[in-house]
Amino acid sequence: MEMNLFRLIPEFIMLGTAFLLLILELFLPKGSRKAFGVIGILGTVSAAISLPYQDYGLALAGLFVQDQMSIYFKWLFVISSVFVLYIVMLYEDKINNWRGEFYSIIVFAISGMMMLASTNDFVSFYVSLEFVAICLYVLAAFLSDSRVTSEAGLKYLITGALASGFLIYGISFIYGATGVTGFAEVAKALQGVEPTGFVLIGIVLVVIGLTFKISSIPFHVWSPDVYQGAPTPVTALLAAASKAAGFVVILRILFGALGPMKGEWMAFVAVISGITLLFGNLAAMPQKDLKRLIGYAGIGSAGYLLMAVAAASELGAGAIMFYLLTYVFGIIGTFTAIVVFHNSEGSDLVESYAGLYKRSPLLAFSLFIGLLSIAGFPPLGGFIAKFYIFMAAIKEGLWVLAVIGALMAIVAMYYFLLVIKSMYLRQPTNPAPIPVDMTTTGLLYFVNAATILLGVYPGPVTDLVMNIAQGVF
Amino acid sequence: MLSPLAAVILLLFVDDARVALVRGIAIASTATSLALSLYLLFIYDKVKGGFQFIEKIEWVQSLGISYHLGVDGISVAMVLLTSIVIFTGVFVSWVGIKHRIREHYMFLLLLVAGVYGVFMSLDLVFFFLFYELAVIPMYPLIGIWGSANREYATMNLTLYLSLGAMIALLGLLSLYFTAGAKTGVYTFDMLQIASLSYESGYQIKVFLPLLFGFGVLVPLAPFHSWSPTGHAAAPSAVSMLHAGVLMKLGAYGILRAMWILPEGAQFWMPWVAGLSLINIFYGGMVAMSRRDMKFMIGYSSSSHMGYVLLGIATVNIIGVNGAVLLMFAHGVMTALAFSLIGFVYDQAHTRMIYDFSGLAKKVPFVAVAFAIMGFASSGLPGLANFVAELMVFIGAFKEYPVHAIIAVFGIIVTATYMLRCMRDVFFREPMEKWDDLRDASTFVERLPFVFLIAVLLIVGFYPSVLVDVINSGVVPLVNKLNAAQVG
Repeated sequence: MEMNLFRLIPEFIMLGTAFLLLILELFLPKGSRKAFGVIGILGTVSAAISLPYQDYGLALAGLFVQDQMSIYFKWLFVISSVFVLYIVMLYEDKINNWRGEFYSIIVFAISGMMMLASTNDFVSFYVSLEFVAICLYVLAAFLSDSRVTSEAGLKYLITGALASGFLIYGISFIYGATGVTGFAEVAKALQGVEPTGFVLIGIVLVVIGLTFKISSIPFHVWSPDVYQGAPTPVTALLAAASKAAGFVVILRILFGALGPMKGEWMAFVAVISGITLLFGNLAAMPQKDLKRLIGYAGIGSAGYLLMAVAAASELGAGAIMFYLLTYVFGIIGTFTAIVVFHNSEGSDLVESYAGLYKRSPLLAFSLFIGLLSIAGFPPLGGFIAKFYIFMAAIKEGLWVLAVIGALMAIVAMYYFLLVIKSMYLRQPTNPAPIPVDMTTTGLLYFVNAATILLGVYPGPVTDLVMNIAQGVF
Repeated sequence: MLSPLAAVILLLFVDDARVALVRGIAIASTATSLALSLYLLFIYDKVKGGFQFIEKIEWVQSLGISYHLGVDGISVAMVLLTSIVIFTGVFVSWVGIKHRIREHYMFLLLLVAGVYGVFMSLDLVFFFLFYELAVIPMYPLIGIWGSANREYATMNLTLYLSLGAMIALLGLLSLYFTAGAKTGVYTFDMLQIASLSYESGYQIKVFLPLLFGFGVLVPLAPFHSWSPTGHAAAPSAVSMLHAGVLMKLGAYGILRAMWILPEGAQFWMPWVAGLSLINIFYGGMVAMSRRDMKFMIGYSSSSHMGYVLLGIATVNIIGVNGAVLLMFAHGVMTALAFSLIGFVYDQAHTRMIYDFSGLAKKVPFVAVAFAIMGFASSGLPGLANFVAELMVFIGAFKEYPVHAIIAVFGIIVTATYMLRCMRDVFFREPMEKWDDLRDASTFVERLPFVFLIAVLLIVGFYPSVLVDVINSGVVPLVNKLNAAQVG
């Protein structure tokens, strides 16, 4: 049994950073909160530095695997982590009974997601998933003196626990049918086998359980409340990193372990995708609170991503990876702007953004780029991503789904344009400019540039993800 | 042709307050484009035909997407039209736009870059990307600088056009996979995709989303409701581009779709011919009933695009030539109309026909220009529109004699509302309240009008300068379509 612990070095660095933060909490004086954020970011950066030195192969006796896909997703998590930690530094003055754990729990959650990207076994998968989930439950309810936040945390916990139940029950069926838990072994056992009732029940339960993490039907109900109620950096973490973690797991389990059964789950996922697209986008239309709006829009995005899952092809897998990268950048740009705006104005309502272009051109522009990228406007990264998803769907002949997706893309344009309209076409009620500090300015420029670059020059990243996608089945 | 894009980037770095510099950059870039388009018109090899000046750069290798540009005879004419309209549009904005000038020019030039891109791309992905790039800047352009009812109009327009684009996209993607499955090489290269032949059942199915998608932009009845409200709310330069150029993108898209799917086109063309009559008469009738001059011209554009569609639907050489020439002539004519109305509106702050009377005494220059526009619109000889409409009718008599006879009466409708508008606004007794109205007197104010009228006259008296080039693009297209009919 080879342990190959060096293949888990990035995770170890993240875990070490998290523990360091916990210990430092005891020693550092109260006034040095920002130092925690800096240490967290430095730890993340060192984990990132170790990524290019990783070789491919199994670790911990086959429980984990390091391959191109896991490295790609770890990059996504590392990027999200740096930005989320930075947003926390901007945000933390809001937290009254602040405790140093906030930073360390975020770092714990990220390290859990990195493990999820590498899982190669149902056991390690479930353990990593619960590790991440527990961190997120705590984070979502962190503002314990706010009723909205507590409610959000409770909803998140209850639906999450229920979804975990579905998942573990489904996994046990699959184990019962195949007698193994490793993804590769399960795939081998299912190869060329007629699906039995046991396997089918297992697949259905696992798919339903996975919908929690990506906030799609039927476990989507937490998403708008939690997006609105949770501390804004946590919302960003949930929207960007947690969704990516959900889809890397889907790629590993549905494409990898259950790939031989794809004829059985394709139609099921397609139906979920269609309903999710309709629900998320239509329900987003009347929203007044920007965070809640993005919560519903996030359900819609899950619908698009599931459309690529339903296509069950290499092209679909590549499209998912590309989409998630653009989505991470879009979410980060948007939420950084939301936090800065909230610090100054104390409101997340769309109408309070009126005339923002006059008060802070940069914030307005970042929201403009971020939201339109998520909505899929060319020539931004999000458009290319949606384009690939449509390609994948049409290639497999999913015409009904593609038409629903096309119509819902117009609906998404509508509600995001409402925000843009408020920012650019309305006059501000209070014309005082909103200051943005130097570092934040730099970060926003970087994120906007990345989103635009992915749109106008998608070649290298596309080639990369399509190459990774070759080995997904 | 990248000159507008370069200008956009330059403008990003220019200070808001330096209005003169902003305008200078805009004029320089559009003048460059105009000069290059004229140059293109003369160096384009009419005898050889086909696509020339091809540029190709790999963009996404793994999916067969490349930045692939080239022009045929039809695109040359359309590129020239775009250059003419934007060049004059920049001058019109000089007079009309008073706030957020830099951003206005940025969006305007971005839009134009998209339009050039559509007319020149030979790659389906870039075709679509540029198409969207041409639509999206309309949102801020109308939303920020528009007049009454702008927020509704701009949302309506953006969503309608994007819907059309998405539907067309699904059709294009289907083509990509079908073509790829035939050759084993997946590519978005239009030349490659068009060189294959497809089963007629498939062609008929896939032509429909393309027809719908591009038809929305034309605007093909009954999907035209976005257009007049958009026109009415947009600032002058944007109306000019919108009616003058953007609508032509739709017709151009349909021509390209016909080229790729000849049998599908043959199947649907009688329907298009029928709908084109609805366009002509419905647009004309509504135009007659409108009191707002911009609404009137907006509906009249739908009506004229009906002739274009009729010409396209004939699928014979003279009809399609006429359609493309009419696209050009109508573009110039509408640009003139909107710039004139805009000029009056900026001073009078009303566009209602009944608010005016006897303006010719106050603004003789504008009145003359408006009269020429009205004559062009009603198809009087000597102006470009006459030649084009004549060709369309000759073509249409061969294929759809009944349609053609009905369509000819459309001209009477046009003449009715144009002449009535002219009579009410410019002639009759002058009204006192317009005593201080100023005529177009400076160079900047007059240049666009004079320039557009000159183009109408040149093409009217010497159409072969354009027709020869257009013809070199139309002939292979029509031949391919006719071969499909026999086969």
